[in-house]
Amino acid sequence: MLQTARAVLEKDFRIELRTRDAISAALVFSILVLVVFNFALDVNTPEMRRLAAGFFWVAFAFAGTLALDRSFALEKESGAGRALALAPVDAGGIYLGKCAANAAFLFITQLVALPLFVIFFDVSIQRAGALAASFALGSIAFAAVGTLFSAVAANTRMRGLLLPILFLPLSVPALIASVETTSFALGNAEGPSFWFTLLVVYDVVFLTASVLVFEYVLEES
Amino acid sequence: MSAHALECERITKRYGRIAALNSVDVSVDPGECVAIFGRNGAGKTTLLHVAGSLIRNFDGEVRVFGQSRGDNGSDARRTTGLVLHETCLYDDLTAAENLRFFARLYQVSDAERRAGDVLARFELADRAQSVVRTLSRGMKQRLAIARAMVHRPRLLLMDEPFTGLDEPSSQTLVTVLREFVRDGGAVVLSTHDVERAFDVATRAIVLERGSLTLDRSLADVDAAAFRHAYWHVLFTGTARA
Repeated sequence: MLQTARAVLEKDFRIELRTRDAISAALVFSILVLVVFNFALDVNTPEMRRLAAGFFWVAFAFAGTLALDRSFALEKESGAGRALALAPVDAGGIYLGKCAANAAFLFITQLVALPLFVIFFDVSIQRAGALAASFALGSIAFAAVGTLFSAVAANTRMRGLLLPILFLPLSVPALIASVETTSFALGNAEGPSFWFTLLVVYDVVFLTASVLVFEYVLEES
Repeated sequence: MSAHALECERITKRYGRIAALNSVDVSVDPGECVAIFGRNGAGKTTLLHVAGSLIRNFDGEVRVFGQSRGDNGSDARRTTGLVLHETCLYDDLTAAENLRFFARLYQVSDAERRAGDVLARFELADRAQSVVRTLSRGMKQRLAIARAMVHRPRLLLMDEPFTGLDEPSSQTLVTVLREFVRDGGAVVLSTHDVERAFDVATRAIVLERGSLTLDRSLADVDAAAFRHAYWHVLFTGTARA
């Protein structure tokens, strides 16, 4: 399973390095949303700084949908996904490879958008380790659910519409936990252990469930 | 254990009220190349998709080298190579990267070398580092066939493999398929080109509205006689006695 996951991960990275489709779409969208927030709201108040993590994750949730939508679209082009589905490999391995690639793309998008976020919202990073953990666990959570539903949505004619409808409601617990852990990293919240635990549990549950059901999703592709 | 490379028993596939395949029985032995003929919509592609596990919701039984497709066994998948209407390639990877990726998925031990060998066999070695998106239609078709063969399958299912190929490339494919069959492989290909099929096929079947109307060895038939019989099926819907 891990060999398959590695092959798929390397393939997706190679394609992304060549096209930059997923990261550039997510990055442009998240920067646009942050710019709009910056001009629409008076962000230079203590109250707004406390809410800054929420703005960041709202921007990222919608931007991430664009990147995830692209994930299985490239499998549909020229029917490559059919050849992938017919290969004598564990479907869970294919899922893990796609999920790892998506999580990495989302994490990179966050890291690139972070300096703008810090400047626009005038926040300071109090706990860098916690921020990295928050971004990493949040990216894995989004990728775990998003990869599964990206595969489901890719088989329908309403791909672009269906993905956010399926994906965003299920990702709300991860979104809330990510906002709280990022707030903690920015020094705006206390007692993060519950939220970090929630993120870890969410990641484990959705990764495990998705690995188990992915075979049936691929069958329909 | 069956000696057949492919066995399709009483295959029926319906799309609503329309039977794309109606109780079709076909078996193919190792060392055989079977050409499927038929008009558009006769069921050629559906039969290949059923045999290749692309369609799983059908009535009947498909076995590959004795293993039921219904078992979803990886052995059956490992022994089969598929060429479809779509190229099944990643447009943003190079030719070599595509082949190496699929070779890795099929756990080909010498993936790098095998990819190079197959590219050379289909005269694509000089375009190995070209991104697929930049290749011509004929080159993509050759690469699609190379992809289907990179894991050394024993059964090849090919949907109109000569489409988009120029004359030299078609001749190369004929040579490759002859060698494949001579080495004990089995090929099932759909085509409309009787002459080209006669270059490589050992048997021909004709589908008409989802039913098998003709199944004939080509060993003792010349192309002109077969074409005559085929056209009779096409225009009357029945085989000559």
